[in-house]
Amino acid sequence: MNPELLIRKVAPVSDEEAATMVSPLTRADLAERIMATTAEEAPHAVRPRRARAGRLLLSVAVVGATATAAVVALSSADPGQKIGPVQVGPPSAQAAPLSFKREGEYLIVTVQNPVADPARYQQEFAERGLNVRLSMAPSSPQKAGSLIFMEEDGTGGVDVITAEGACGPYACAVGVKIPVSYRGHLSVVFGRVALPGEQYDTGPGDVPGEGVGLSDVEGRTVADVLAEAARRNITRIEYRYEEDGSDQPYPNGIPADKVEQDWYVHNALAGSDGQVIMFVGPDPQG
Amino acid sequence: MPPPDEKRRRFEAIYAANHDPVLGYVLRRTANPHDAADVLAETFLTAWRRLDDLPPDEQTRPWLYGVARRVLANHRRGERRRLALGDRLRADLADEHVGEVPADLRPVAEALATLPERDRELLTLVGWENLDAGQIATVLGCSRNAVRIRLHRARRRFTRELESRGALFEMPMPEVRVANGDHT
Repeated sequence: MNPELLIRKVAPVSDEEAATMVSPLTRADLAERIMATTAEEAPHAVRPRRARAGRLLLSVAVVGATATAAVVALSSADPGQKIGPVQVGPPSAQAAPLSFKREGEYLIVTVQNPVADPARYQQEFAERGLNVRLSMAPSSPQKAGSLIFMEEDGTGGVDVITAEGACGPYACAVGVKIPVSYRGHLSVVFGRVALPGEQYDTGPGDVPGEGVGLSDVEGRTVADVLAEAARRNITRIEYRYEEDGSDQPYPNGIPADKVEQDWYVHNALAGSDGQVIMFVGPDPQG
Repeated sequence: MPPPDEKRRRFEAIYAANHDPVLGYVLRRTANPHDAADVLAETFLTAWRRLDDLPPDEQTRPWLYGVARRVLANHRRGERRRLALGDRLRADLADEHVGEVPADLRPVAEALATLPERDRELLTLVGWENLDAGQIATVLGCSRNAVRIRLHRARRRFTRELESRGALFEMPMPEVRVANGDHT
């Protein structure tokens, strides 16, 4: 008995039908646009991968209201051991996008210009023997200075540094540790305060409630959280259902009128286009 | 690193051969045309960036399905991003509507919808994408053996679910071709 043959009959759409939905122009346009992308436009939707602790630190701190400073810190494995390929030179001129300064066992790299062309950062790292691609993406003020994307194609050994309290009530990644011997390519994106009118580049790693003006929503009732949302003029809310680890029977989200006021909120995330996504269910935990 | 022209040629060949199946995969799993456009665009963007990692031949498409699956899962968790790349595609898809399941098959769709996501994905990768156990292993990033075991259980649960609905279906005869002979 092969249930898949029955299941085949309920396929919502066939490949042939899907093919007719897209015009030849659209099809060609997408391929061209993809092949025209540059490395700097990399998607930010990858969760930072955890690995073993390393010895080179890359982290970011917020300076002032709009400027973001990245700190790349290098430390040697043991006292007296050479730092590897990293040249510890005098701080660059103020006009440079990054400045490098030796402090004890660390090499501190500060981002002077958080909206500089990422190619310039990369060039500065390359001059010091590091294949690091650093860029900044617009984020909520709370996320500014924290790691929102990391991708490495080396052999591993890269770890993230988390900090309590840096992103509201939750720990978030504020830096990256990289072994000095690391020869792979590493790409990291830190949040910077969004310019007026600029949309947040949200992605995995956004802490619950981040960017939506709601905090500590977990375990509170729907009525309670909605009251707070209303006070803050948050009105565009979508719901996702969670019960006992499952999204059934609402795999594509639950309509607002089916959500009970005495249910619990498990999570709230900033979605795109300004809406808030709340994960709710009848139990305190999903 | 292949020369730029070769890279373009390889991507164009992969894109031409897989655009419709990947779009079909996505549309069968989300009714939202905006999400579908973004997932398709992001999947092929990933393929372009990771062209050197793409497995050849019959594993290429499952690899792409695997990427689409992860992007789709992110969307379901609310972590959606709108890619400017997909603007035109979004407009095309917004005008389309996916058809309804015929009334007599509704219990099948309902039974499928009730299953845990993991079971549903396995059964639909066979039923809708016509993949064999080895290809499903590529999509899900697990071993071929694990796929066989999980598929066996998923089939059982689906059948039970269907029976609990009182639905009486004449199961098709076993001599009908089944994806790569993964019979139970």
